[in-house]
Formats: sequence, structure tokens, C-alpha cells
Amino acid sequence: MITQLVFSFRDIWRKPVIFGFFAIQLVVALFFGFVSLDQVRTSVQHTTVARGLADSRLVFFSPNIATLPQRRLTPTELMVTTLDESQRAYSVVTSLKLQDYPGLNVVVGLGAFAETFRLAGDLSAIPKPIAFVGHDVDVVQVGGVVEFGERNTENIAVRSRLPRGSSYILRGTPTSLDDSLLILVDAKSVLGYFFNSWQHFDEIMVNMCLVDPTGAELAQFVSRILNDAGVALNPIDLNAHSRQVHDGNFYGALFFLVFFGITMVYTLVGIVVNMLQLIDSHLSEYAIHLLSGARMWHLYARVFIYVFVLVSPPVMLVSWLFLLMHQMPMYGLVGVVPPLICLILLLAGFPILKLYKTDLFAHLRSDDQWH
Amino acid sequence: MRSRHAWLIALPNVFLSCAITVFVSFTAIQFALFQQATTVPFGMPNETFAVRVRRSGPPLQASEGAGIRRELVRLLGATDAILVWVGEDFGLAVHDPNGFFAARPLRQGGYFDRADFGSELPSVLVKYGSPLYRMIADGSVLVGGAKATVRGVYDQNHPLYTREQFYVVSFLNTTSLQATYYLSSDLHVVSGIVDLLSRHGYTAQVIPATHSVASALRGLLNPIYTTAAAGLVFLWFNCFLVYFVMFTRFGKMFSVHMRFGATKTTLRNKLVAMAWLPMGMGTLLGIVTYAVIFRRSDGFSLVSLPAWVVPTGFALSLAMSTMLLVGAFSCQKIWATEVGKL
Repeated sequence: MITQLVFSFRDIWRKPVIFGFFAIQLVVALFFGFVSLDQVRTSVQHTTVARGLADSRLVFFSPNIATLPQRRLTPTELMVTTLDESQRAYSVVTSLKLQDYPGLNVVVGLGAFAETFRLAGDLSAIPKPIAFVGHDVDVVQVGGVVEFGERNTENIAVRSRLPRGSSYILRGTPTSLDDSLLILVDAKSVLGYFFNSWQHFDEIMVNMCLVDPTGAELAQFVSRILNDAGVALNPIDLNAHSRQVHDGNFYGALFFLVFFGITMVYTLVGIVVNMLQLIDSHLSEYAIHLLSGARMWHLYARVFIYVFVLVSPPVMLVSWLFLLMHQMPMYGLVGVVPPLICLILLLAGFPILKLYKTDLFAHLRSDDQWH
Repeated sequence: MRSRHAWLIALPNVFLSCAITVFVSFTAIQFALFQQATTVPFGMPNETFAVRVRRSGPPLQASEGAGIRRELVRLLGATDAILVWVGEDFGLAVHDPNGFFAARPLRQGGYFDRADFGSELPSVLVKYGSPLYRMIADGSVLVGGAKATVRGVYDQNHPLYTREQFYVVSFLNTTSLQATYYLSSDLHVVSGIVDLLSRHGYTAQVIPATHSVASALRGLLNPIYTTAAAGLVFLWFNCFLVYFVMFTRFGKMFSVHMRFGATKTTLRNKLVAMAWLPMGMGTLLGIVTYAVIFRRSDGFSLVSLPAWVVPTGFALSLAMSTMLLVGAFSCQKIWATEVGKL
């Protein structure tokens, strides 16, 4: 095998520029192909969530920056009316952490949160607060108890696990609940749980989202927030926002995915064609090796090693970069090995098949060797 | 040329033309961005300055802000200057007492009156279809914390239309001074405004209203575009390799033809003529694939791209593929040896 390794490296050394060029092609096509694929996947998720909610005609808000410093903390009545009683709005608090699980994302949903995102069936008869764990959360299990609140505290039993892919919309952006603990609370009681309630009030107000409001309802809500809290809100239509942002991102990413996908296919075809060419130019050498006692599998190994040395470093490099970008643990590289082996087998398969079908001794006897 | 060779030529061209058309589309988008970067925004005159204003001191009292705005309008009042204010919020503001934008088409209603630009009673133009448009009741709407009289409704045909902003108010009714100010005015007035804002704790920086061609070109040749261009080189290289290896199989056939009087040129012309049909079919199929992938949708429309994208993609693909074919033919080792020898 060492001999075949040496022969393979000699093959590389004979045309190092071609070898390097293919390696660079692989790195570029793989890296940008995967980045585009990742963006397309995210955009599809976002678009799917937003389109699923298109009938709800959600309207979210952006506060007027100039009026924020003058805000007052009085409109609890408006919050209760809008979130608890009318059930035509929801809001979210995402800045909270639980003392017992400081690393766990906590999403506090208010108003028609669960109903809007169709999260857990009919909860109207169940008193709040109610807790659910996201699909990927493992530090808290169903039936476990979490302590919620600072000033007033309450132990909440986790009712059930949310289905995979559960998500909600935070200021126009679909956000996954898979790695979060969801706590549904009444707007009336939520501020009582905390000392610095003004901070959460701001968050509730900024994250407020109305479900299918009429123009008059919108005007009334914006007007009441202005009168009661002193903050001017700019309403933003979620459907238009999604079309503008997520669909635009999707097609932008799809552009690159198609382009680099085709580049990737061409690179792989180029590698195979290059290998076939390499074999064509080495047929006489292979025949002499066979005459000197080598077996066919030695020749196959030589091809396999060449492809392995060409493909493995770019694939591992791109995977490493990808893990770094997503802040994932490095042992994730182990998961790359099976597809890498499949790719190497696929690429080496064609030249090996050609070698298998070629009568090397007949080639040695023919005139072709002189061309 | 056998049918399998025709397929071998057609298939790479499907992918090649699809990728080239994607690249041409991307180039068209970059070109549109280049034009946008080198054109004065909002259809303002060429002699327009941009002033970027940021707050460097402590926050202002509302009354003080109103005073600065009035002073600024007074400075502008002596000239026929136009001001478009682009803030950090969801609205634009204008100061246009001479009605530079008045002749532009509105969807409903009319443009601001001259008196609106000197009045602190807010009046507004609202973007058609926006939530604000739905909120209009009795000819007024709540904008930036104040009830404003709706003068008109504009849509994408108006020069003040942007995707991000929902309304246009007169400058005196803005709620902040931090913004980018586009001023069609002489430098003297601009300097006066910069001085005024600087005196009140703002950092005002005069910047070009448009990018220079060199800076816009630098933006055009961004890393993603450069990488895509490199990807195009990879595509051509691999396509060349496919053609090259295919022609190495024709070595003996070329020799026979040349023994019976063919020349390299006649062989090349014959090959190109025979390859054009599968090449054209493959290219056409690639364009169709492109159109199917990027079919019209809410977020993206092929119609929004310039009409030259698809023909250019087709022509460029066909031309490049032909050049690669001719190149691969010319690079055959057989031409370096004594051809015609059996």
C-alpha cells in the first residue's frame, strides 16, 4: 500500500497545478454552495411560517425613536384589554432568564400567542401560567417544575413538549421555539412577577402584534398607546414585510445556490474527466506494473488514494469553516466522514470501472502507447 | 458525430447556460445598484449635497429641536432649495415650498400646499397600501405621535417612494434631527446648515449625494461577485476539459480525414457546424431551466430584470461554448504530431 501511496503522490507531483486548481474549485464551490444552501433553508423556513400566517394579517410595530424617552408606564389597562380580553393580539418577552436554568432560552407569550401560532390546541379552559418545552430542550422535561418570577414567584409544571419546528414571529422575523422554554402568562399578572417591570413593559409594547386589525382598530391602538404611554408606534404589515425581506433573501440565496451548485457538479465532472485522462496516459505504466507482479487492486488503490488526497482536505476545511460559522462543536466533523467516503467512492468509481474494463496487456501490444 | 456525442455536448450546455444566465442576472442587478449609486436619489437635481447628521451631545428638549428646525427652514427660505430628510424612522420629510415634486403623479389627493412647509400643523403624504393608509379616517392619520392632515397618497410611481418608508411629512413636523439631509442648494447654504447643527451639539458631515464611479465600481466588484466570476472560470475550465477529452477519442478519425484531404480548418468548421444544434438545444433548455427555477413570484420577478438578461445569457453561453469547443479542438496533441499518419 505504501508503494501505491508513493505512486499516487508521484501522479499528483506530475501535474501539481491541475491538482491544486481542482482543490481550489472544490473549496470555493463547496463553501459557497453550502452557505447558499443554508440561507435558502433559513429563508424557506421563514417564508413558510410567514405564509402560513398570511390569513391572520398580522401587524407589528416599530416605536418612534424620538418618542421613546418620554414613555410612561401606565397603559396596563390597554394591555389587559388588548392582550387578555380581546384575544386579537399577542406579545412576547424574550429577555428573561430562569435562575435555575440560566442557559435556557425563555419565551414568555402573552395574549393570543398560542392560538396565533397554533402551538398547543385549545388552552382556553386552562389557567395561566402554562409552560411548554421546545423540541430540542433537554435540561427541562415534561412534568418538571420551573420557578418563574422574581418579586412574585410561581412554580409551573411543564405541560408538554412542542412539536419540532414550532415557531413564532418576533418583530417580523420567524423565530424557532425548538430550543426554548415557552411560558404563557396573562398580561394582567406578568409585570407583577418582576422588580424591574418597566423593562419588560417596554419589551411587551415593542413586541406587540395585532391579529387581523381593521384600519379603525389600528388607529385606535396606536392612538391609545400614544395617549397612555406617550410612545408613537409605526405599524408594519407582516405580509408585506415578509414578501420584501424573506422572499428577497430566498431568491438572492437561490441565485447563488443554483450557480455554485452547477459549479460543484462541473467540478466533480472535471475531477472524473481528469482521472480518466490520467489513466489513459498511464496505461502502459499500469501494464508494466501488472507484468512486474502488481495486482489490479493495487491500481485501484492508487486511483482511490489520488481522489482521497484531492477531495478530503477541501471537504474537511469547508466543514470546519461551517462549524466555526455556526459555533458548533468540532466533533461534528465526524459526521462529515460518511458522506465524504461516499463522494470519494463515487468519484473514484468511474476511473476504477474504466481500469476494470480496459485490457491493459492489449494496450501494451497496440500502437496507442506511442501517442 | 454520433447521437451520444450530441448528448455529450448538449448536457453540459444545459448547466452551463443556466449558470451563465444566473451570472448575467446577477450582473444586471449589480449594474442596477451601480446606476442607483451614481444617480442622485429622489430624482433631485444634480447639484445636490448630502449631509449626514448625528447627535454628539446630550438629548435635546423637544422645544429646542423645533427651534433648530425653524432656523434651518429660515436658512433655506432665502433660496429655492429642496430638502429631503431621510431619518431612522419609517418616514421621509421634505421642504419643498417651490413645488419641485408637485408635478409628480400621486395616486390620490394632491401635493403639499406652499403654506404646509411653514406650518407646524402636520400634513402628510401616505404610501398606498401601507398600514398607515388603512388608518386614515376623516382625512387625517396619526403619524410620529401627531395627528396629521392627509394631503395625498403616493405609490411606486412617485420619486419619493421607498420600500422602507411609509409616509412623507413637511420638514417642520419631523421628530428628530438625526438623519441624512439631501439638499439641492449652493454650498453657502449647506455650510450655514452644518454650522447651525454643529452649534447645537450635532455632528454634521457633508458627503457626496452620489458615489463616484470608482467607488461604485469597487462596490460592484464585491467579494461575492468576484467569487461568482471565479466560479464562471471554473465552469469554463471543466467544460473545456469535457470537450478536450471527447476530442481525444476522435484522434484516429481526424487522421483518416486529413489523409483524404481534410484540413484542420475544414475539420474544425465541420465540427462546429455539427455541434451547434445540440449546443443550441442544450443552451435553450438551460435558459428554460433558469426561467422555471426563478419563475415569477411575489418576492422576485423575472420581469423586474432588464429584458437583455435572457438573450445575453443565451448568446454568451453559445459563444463561450463554441470558443471552448474550438479551443479544445485546437489543443489536441494530434496537431503537434505528423497528422494523417495511420
